Amino acid sequence: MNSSESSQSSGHPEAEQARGQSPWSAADLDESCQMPVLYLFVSAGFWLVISSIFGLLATLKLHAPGLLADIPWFTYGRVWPVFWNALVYGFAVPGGIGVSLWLLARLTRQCLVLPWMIFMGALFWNVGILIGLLGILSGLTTGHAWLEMPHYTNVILFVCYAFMAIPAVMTFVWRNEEDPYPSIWFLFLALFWFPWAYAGACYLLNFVGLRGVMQAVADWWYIHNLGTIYFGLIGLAVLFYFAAKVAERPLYSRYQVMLILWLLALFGSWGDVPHGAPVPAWLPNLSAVTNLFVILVLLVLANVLHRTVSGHYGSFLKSVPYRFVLFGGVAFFVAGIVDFVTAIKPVSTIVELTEFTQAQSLLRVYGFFAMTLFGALYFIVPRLARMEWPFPRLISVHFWLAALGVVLYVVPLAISGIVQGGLLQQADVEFMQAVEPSLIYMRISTIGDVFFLLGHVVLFLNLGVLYYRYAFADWVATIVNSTQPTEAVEVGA
Amino acid sequence: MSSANRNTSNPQAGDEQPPAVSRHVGIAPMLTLIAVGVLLYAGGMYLDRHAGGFRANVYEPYRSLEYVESLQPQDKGDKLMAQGKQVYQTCSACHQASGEGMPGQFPPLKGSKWVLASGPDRIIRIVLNGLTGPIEVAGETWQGVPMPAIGSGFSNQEIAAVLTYIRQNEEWGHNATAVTPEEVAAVREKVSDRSAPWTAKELKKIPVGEEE
Repeated sequence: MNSSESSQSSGHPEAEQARGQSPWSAADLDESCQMPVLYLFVSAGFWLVISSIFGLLATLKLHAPGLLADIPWFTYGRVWPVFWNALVYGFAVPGGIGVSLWLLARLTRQCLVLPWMIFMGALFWNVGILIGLLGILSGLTTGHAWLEMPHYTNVILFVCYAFMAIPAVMTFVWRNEEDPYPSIWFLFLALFWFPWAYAGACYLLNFVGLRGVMQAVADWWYIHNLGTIYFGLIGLAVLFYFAAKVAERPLYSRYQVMLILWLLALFGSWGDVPHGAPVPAWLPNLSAVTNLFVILVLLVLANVLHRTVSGHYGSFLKSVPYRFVLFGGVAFFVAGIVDFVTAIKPVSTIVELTEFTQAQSLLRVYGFFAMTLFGALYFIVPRLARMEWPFPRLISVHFWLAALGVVLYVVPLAISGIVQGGLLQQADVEFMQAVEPSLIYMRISTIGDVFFLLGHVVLFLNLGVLYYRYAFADWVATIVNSTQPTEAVEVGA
Repeated sequence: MSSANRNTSNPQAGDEQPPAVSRHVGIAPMLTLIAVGVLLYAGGMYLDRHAGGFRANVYEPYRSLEYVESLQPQDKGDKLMAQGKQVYQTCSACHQASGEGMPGQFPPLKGSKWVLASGPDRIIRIVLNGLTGPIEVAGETWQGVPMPAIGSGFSNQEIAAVLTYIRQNEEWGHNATAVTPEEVAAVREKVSDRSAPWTAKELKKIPVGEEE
């Protein structure tokens, strides 16, 4: 029976029949994720607001240097890393874990194992972030980009990550799906990629203490592994999930998706050592060559996504969460092409020491990964909490704020970088003359930051109220009005 | 509309099943394989030209160790030492690479007072015209094999180089002043009418520094 099914299965969602049977319904699976994943999302939303407050402060300081300049805790050198660390470790990593856990449970058709362990991991992860960010603000920074938190927080975060990742691995191992949907490959690899890159970089930079220029090399390696591989793996897993779901078609070619995974894992992680770096010549050149290979990832990915979605692109516009995912997918391609072009030496020499790199990393981390996560989050949360968003219209408001924010932040800084880099190449132009034209672009990018902040407040408002209703409303009602028996929380239609 | 969608009116029915994946292979993997091959070849060529042979001491924007070395400021002393090491191969047949000579036959250069004297005037003469008869080196009297006159076979530059090499050889613990080709030329001119080898007695009359 199975063989006859699978022979005609290609192209039909009914191919499900050939898969293993799960004792769990989608509702059961969601319920197992409910407690840890909702907590991960709401705390990610909180850190996102904190992050964008500091991000706004940091960009304001670029053209209003006097702002809060007398308070050591709010000087640029501390505010700026707080922005990135809160964005990466406060929002992106735990948000990514949350989405991974839900997708893992759904796609392996296995209830999440040990949700309490994950919850404890997430709880203390947030304590670690708090200690780390306060550490940076009080001046205990390590000085390594994306790893500025004091070294003891590295241990906290690593242990907490293990608390979250081990149940995820166990869920995969006890899966009810013999051959799970390809997103699972990406998520499973990502589960191991973060601890490998994070522990490796922290050990080398904060515990062994590499010397001299090797610090920068290790740091570039780490940023590239986290930004391109880890975020890329989770983001692509989400893209593949939604591509098939939105188009209501099976994902095109299991084998080509496998190819994407291997190309990304093999060639994606060789670091982005810039050409101007004072390191042996083979490092920047090798990293430039492997960057060229990443264009293959984009080509195969474009083929897979187009053949899956072709003719149904309009479906992505029907619902706001899908729009976030579509935006993220487009940003992934733009970021990939920009990475490809800037790996070429003549281009790299112009843009490498300018604001352009800032625009580039924000496009990848925010334009691609955060936007994809927002889409997944808006899609998942109502299903988990079994209630509608408190302010459904604000979702669309968030989308436009975030989308315009990305454009207003990335485009001006990219232009500024090209202008500035071009001027820096001319020997007769003084340094300040080369920097001055970028002032107007920085002012425009500050508008982008304001949009980010507003968007994050809107997101947190929705998430926070929903989480309150989910977790505390019952409990508060019991205390306030203990004489009346409480009704169960309203269940979404 | 597929039958799966018609069966239920619930708009969230799609959630019940994970999405499916097709098992098409397509032409993309084959094209990718070719592209990987082409890129590996092109990348290899590029790295061969630009990666400085993967050496730790070749930095951007330089491409090879040879090119980097040709740009280094050349120190005269180092050049003499390098040349001297080559010329010394003639001497090491008797005095040995270690500079310790052979007991009873060839006296050592390592630690020799004349080699390390403040000026090279005596050793220049020994190289130019040779030496015969007994000589006291390192507390022993040597009168075995005479030192041949090898000066005519070498240029002033080469003699200066080999004498600098034995006076400054770090492996021997030597750190005397370098010998210049000009010094050798001056002595060569002074002794141009002499063909007999020197004796230790004669040399002792010559001050180690010409000006003293």
